[in-house]
Amino acid sequence: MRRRRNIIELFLIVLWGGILFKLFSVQILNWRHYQRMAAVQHFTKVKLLGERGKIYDRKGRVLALNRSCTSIRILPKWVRDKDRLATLLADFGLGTFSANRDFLARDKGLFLFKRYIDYNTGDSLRKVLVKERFHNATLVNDDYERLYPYGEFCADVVGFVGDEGCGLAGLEWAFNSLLAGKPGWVMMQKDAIGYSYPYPNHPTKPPEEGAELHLTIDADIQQVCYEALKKGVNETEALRGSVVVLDSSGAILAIVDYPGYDPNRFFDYSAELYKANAVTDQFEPGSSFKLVMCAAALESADSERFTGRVYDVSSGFISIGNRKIKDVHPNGVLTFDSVFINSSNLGCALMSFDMDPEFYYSVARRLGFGEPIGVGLPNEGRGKLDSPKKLHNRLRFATISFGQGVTVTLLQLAAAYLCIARDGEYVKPYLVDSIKKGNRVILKQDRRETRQAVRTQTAERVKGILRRVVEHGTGKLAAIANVSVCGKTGTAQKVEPWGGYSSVRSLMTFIGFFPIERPRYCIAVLIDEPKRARFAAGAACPVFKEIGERLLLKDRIELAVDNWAKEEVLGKVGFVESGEENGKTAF
Amino acid sequence: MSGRAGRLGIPIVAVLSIIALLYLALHSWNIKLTKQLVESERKQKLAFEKAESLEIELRKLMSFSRLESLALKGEHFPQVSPPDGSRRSEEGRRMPGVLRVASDIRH
Repeated sequence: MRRRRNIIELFLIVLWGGILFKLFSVQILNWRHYQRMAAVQHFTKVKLLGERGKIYDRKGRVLALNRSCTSIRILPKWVRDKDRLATLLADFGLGTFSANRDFLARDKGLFLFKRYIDYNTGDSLRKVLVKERFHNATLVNDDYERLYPYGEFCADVVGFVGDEGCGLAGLEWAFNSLLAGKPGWVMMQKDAIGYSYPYPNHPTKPPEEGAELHLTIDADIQQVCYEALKKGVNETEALRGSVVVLDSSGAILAIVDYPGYDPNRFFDYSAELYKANAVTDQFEPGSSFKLVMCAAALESADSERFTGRVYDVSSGFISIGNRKIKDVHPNGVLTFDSVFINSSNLGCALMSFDMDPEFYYSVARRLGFGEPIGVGLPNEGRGKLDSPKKLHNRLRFATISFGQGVTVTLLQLAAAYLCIARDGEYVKPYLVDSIKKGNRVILKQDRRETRQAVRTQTAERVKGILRRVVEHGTGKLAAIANVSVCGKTGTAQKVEPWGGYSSVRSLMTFIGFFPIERPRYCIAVLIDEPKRARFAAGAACPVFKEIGERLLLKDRIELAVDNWAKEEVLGKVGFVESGEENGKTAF
Repeated sequence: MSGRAGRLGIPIVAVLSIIALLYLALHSWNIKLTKQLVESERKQKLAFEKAESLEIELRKLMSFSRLESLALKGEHFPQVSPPDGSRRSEEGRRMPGVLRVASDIRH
């Protein structure tokens, strides 16, 4: 009996000893390992999405924003009742029963069933799936959708993001690292079945929101330009067109291409349309580049040599080596000013014979040609401007003087004309006004770098010439009633793939600014290969005119609305009599 | 086990059990509150997004192209339109106020 009792006692001692040893091992020796194992089983880290930064226009209107939505993933091999799940999804408006049934039958592994589901729909579906015990085979995640309220009007500037939330075009691409937010997490606990619950003290690493971009563009002006350009391109049956609008400070108010694309449905459009042609595409500008010769001649130390003589172009052509340079329209004997007013190629070529190539090159560079402006959009063109050494070739210099053999972007042309509008002071156009992250301002364009590219007297004289181009010359169709407009047309033949210039395919530009007394807008219009217009006067000038007229109307309406609002607010509290306020309206 | 030990043990076990039960209740209440917090944050975010959408819609209604067509009709902007179009509609009078309301919702 005693022996049996000893055996039992020994057994119990060994048993308790073993248990104590195991406890010692678990709690003291290997506690870290078991804590980790428990954490894996009990807790789960749920990723919190960092919201992508918004993009605003100059008036604080949102051009790109985020919407909460949900996405649903399904693991078909774990779905018990495929018909029931297919019906549930169809009931929530997600596909039809038969299509859902096919999906569930075809795929075995985890697949993305649908993205960008309305948040409330997705949340209700999540609850129903748990209730119907499909939660182990389905995953309804919180997600963000990027929306572009102004669609195609602002697409070229803003761009778009792809399915992975990464910028693929425009500023969305160029500023992706700043716009993208950083994800955070929240710790949740799981029960034995796998349901998640918040952890009581809710350990969280909050996600970091991306930076906000505040642009200089105006969504209204983008729309005005897009509509006018669309009309111009369609009426002239052109391939495409572009418009750039700058204000007097160099801020870019609009960059528009037509045909454009809707960034909300970018996948429906050709990738060719994704770039901002006005900034990326380099082209031979034709006569609108004569501005450089005009400025260089007036700027040179012996300007009298150019301005004090006449240019006999009555023959209609001049020969340089075995090549002939011709004028489009016959001209007789021209003065310095009328060479530009009548847009004579021969006149410019004759000037190039007397011009110092180094000096001409330096003026072109000072006007911003031959280098990218750096507005922040991807793939910006720099243009091609031959070095002074190459300009010693008479034929080459002669053709460059009237805009052949040199390439520019539309934005560069607009910036050069703006320089004249600003009395010879060149300012680099800019698109991003400020970048903000939370309360911190990362970038603010409050001091623009400027340089005096040409003398004020030179700019004044060029302005006078450009004004007469619109009043009496090739730019008559760009004239706006009661406003003094300055500008220059350009009709450039396009280069054929096999060499030489095409006799039928042309690229037409008109760049101008107004009003001459205090320039407010500088507009550059490009129409590519219009079939129903032979010259820029018929293709680009009407677009310029329409945009100009509508911008002036916009200014007047904004002033009227401002006065109106003041009248509403101040009138009610008895400060201002409505008649008095109306009297201040400057119309 | 003696009677005295039993008398001492029962209240200790009872107190410990009550403490354990209180802890569990507190824990579940805490979870409930956290859930409500998360839910209210989510609702707030959705409401903010809704307000933002409304503001965008309102701004579109106030956009230049719409004002332009009103001005060209000459009904709402006597200052812009020809002198004979001096009538101002109630809709026009309300417009700046509508934007203020949208801004208030947002902030």
